[in-house]
Amino acid sequence: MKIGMTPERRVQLEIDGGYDKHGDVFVIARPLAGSVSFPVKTFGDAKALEQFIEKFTFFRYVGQCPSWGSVLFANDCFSGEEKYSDTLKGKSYTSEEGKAYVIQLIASGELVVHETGSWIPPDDRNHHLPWPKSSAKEEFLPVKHQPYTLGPHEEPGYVPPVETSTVLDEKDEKVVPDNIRIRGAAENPRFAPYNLNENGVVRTQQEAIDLARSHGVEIGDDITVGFMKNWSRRDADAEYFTRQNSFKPDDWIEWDDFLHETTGKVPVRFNSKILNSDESIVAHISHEMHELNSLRNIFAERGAIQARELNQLIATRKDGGLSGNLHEKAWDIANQLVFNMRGGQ
Amino acid sequence: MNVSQVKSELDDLLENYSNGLYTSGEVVSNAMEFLDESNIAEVWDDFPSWLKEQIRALLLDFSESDEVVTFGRGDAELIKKQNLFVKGWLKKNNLI
Repeated sequence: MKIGMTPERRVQLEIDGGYDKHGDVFVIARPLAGSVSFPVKTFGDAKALEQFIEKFTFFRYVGQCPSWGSVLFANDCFSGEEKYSDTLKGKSYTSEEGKAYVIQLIASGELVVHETGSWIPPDDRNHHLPWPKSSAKEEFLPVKHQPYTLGPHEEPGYVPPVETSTVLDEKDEKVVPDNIRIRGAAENPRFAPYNLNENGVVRTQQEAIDLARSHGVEIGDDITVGFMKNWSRRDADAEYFTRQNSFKPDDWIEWDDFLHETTGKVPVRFNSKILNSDESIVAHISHEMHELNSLRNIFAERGAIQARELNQLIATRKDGGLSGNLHEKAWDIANQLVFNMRGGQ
Repeated sequence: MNVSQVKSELDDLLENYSNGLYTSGEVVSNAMEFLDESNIAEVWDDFPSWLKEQIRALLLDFSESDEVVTFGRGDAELIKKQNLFVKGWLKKNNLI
């Protein structure tokens, strides 16, 4: 699905959104720079559009974001208590089989349907967009491997402020490019408590690692996984970097601080009790690995980060973590894997 | 936990460290949680010298005005209090 853009006019976008509990995807796109902003979901034909409209209710938080920086990095825009819902059911639109359509949330607060490539009135640009939610709170999962191509709607002759042909390259088989960030994060595991294995099967440590890998979890060579019999924590069944008393907010932390001095690897520990549940194994290992794989990249790029920022990346919101941080994205991924293990139900 | 239970947990922690399942920094954080008014003198003696040194080094630069970042691994105020308690005891006993 494309939205009437030539490669040289594509702009760099941030993609927010996720699956609802039915596995459907909702996408919000906004340029990382530029003057066009819109949430959008494209549909290959009228039937797909109509099915989506029948199923979805959009929840909207009422609130203004002071800047795009806040939209991208703070949760104050989306934390308002007030919200209202809307639906496209019964709204006036004309669909034709074989054409592609876009749902947009416009400045007036209305949900509207456009044909792809259509012109969006200037009044509906440059506003701070409300935040659509699925019909149930915290049920978004990450947008991954969905075949879509996005670009802004615009009047003829409009030239985007940021142009790049590297984003959404037609030849690129990756459907979600690395430089597009994905949001729509869950604060908690969605499927816990997890189903126990049939017949009381308890996996070995190696079986658990193999199982996680078979579900696409990347466990680096620099990771030591341990399943601990004497697990005392009650708030979590997995942990790494338990350095709760070692750093002040401005202290700098390096990747080396995560590594065991002799092995040169990052110890990651799991409660051995999860070995009786394949779902729990996959959820917990994928969660920790997503955080660590992301952190490894961050440290490789930046060398060191301050403790305050690390906390914002990996802690829960009540402990100072930011909305949509690595911790929450890690739950998105874990949730998606368990969702898949249950056959998408 | 009584002292023997604490010592048993300390042994487990140190063995896990030897097996690469905890970093030394994690051992410091976890071992300090074992210490309380009733056991600190006895348990401190059981700490290996490298652990004592790392705890001293950590606390030497820690004061009432400092905050700790817990990364979601506990209550920051309680952990700060624990740091100050251990430092106070070490000072009182001329160990820091």
